[in-house]
Amino acid sequence: MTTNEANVADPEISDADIYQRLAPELIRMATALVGRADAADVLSGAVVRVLASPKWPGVVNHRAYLYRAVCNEANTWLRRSAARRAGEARVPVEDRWELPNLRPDVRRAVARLSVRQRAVVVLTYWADLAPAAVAEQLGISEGSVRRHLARARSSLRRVLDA
Amino acid sequence: MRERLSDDELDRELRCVAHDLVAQAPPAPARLPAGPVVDSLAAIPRRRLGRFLPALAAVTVVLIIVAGVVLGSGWFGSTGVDQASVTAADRRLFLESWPGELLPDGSAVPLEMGDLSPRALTGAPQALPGGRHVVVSERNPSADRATDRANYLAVLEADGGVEVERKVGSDTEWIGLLASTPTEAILIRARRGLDADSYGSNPSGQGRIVAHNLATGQERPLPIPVTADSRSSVAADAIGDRLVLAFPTGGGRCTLDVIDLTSLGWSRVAALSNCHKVRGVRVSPTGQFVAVVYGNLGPVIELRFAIVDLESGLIRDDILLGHNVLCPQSPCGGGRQVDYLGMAWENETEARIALIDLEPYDGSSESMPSYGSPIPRAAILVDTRTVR
Repeated sequence: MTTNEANVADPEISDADIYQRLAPELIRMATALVGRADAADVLSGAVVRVLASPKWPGVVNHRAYLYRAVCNEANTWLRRSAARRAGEARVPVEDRWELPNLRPDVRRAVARLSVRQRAVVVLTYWADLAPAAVAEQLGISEGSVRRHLARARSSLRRVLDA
Repeated sequence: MRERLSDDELDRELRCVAHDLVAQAPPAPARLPAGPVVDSLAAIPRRRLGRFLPALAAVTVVLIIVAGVVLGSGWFGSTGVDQASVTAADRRLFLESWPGELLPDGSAVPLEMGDLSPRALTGAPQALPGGRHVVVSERNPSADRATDRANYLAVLEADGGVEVERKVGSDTEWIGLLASTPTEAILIRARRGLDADSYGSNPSGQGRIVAHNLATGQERPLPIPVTADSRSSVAADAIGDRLVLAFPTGGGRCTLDVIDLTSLGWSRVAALSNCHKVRGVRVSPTGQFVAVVYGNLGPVIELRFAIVDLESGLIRDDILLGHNVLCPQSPCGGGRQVDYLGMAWENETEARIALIDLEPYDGSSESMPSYGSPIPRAAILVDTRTVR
């Protein structure tokens, strides 16, 4: 997924336009990170934070900025819900995602990936982005992308080879 | 302990994981949180914002749910069947390769091509407002044009008159027509093949996609990475200022992308697995669904039809249309032997797919009527699929 966004912020493009254009892919990323049930909330929370940020009017790469916001919001959301779950009846964490095509042990392994690792897996294998593009999208270094990907691959390999 | 997975096998597993992770995505909230709330946010000091945020988030969620209920109930007619929005151009069903048009009564009529050859059409004809259409082909052969292999673009009036005829390619560059808007034709440009068998008529090498202004002929590039393998397997359709484009990306997968023709931003909506070639793409009149006809490679080649919800990326339908292969000993599982001709949306929920029955031709498109020749009416099959 590449983008041909201009090198300067375009004041002619409204926030609503940006949202309309990017919401379909952002909701998918949010779903991959926190599951279907919480994806809309995470996306809404991320968008509210982004629009409230004083940096937003000067942002050039809206897609990358919003992807990072969704990842950060997903992290916050999962931390909060982990604390909440501690006091509730235990629900298997892998049940956040409906992954009927995967074996239960693979589902568990996917659920144990960190938000960053899942984001890197999705951008690499779903959006077909090269590590440099994933790095730009998530605001991390290319080396970090390769590390996250290697760890995700290693986790999955352990389960699949077992 | 199982045998250790190869890197390729692990990549395949991870691809499945990634696709499964995003496949369950719900529709995105329809719009940004309400204006006054957002407008005031920038003015709130950051420290106060932290206290304000949970309440704001709750309000936002309620607003989104209300908006979702309102939109989902069809109060604004955004998701319901809206016959008024279906234009005559939406309904026109052009036959690809055999330039003709399938009328509502099931009969096929030849398509006006002006001075262009019906035997060298590159891409399906595209409907334009006012009963017009645009085609790309070579000019009819004549003594003084014996060596002119260039592709030409023509815009034909409803009465057959030629509005525009313009050279768009060259002896070394192949041009395919992918889609059109009321003002632009979306073309794919690729170097012509150099192999003797194809007489230099097939595309080769990396394709590039451009928007060609119908009035002026000026072109602007569209940043779509069509690979060398997919330049002749790509299909597209435009609605408003959006181009929906599907093409194979390798590994038996085709992707469905939406490109904003104004901002040139693009996003990936969905991926079809076991897809090696996209034959046709049509967006429904309101832009909610896209119908895709694609081919895969199995023990026999399957021609399949899918409907994808553009909002959620979910595949709402995926059926076998038939087999598209020479089956002399009938090894095709008893299914129909068909080839794709064209499709169109009848209304927001019904798509018509025109196929040619290959049975009378021994199941082989090789023995079919030559390109540009009329197809016997009895050989045209029309399927109707409704969004489930």
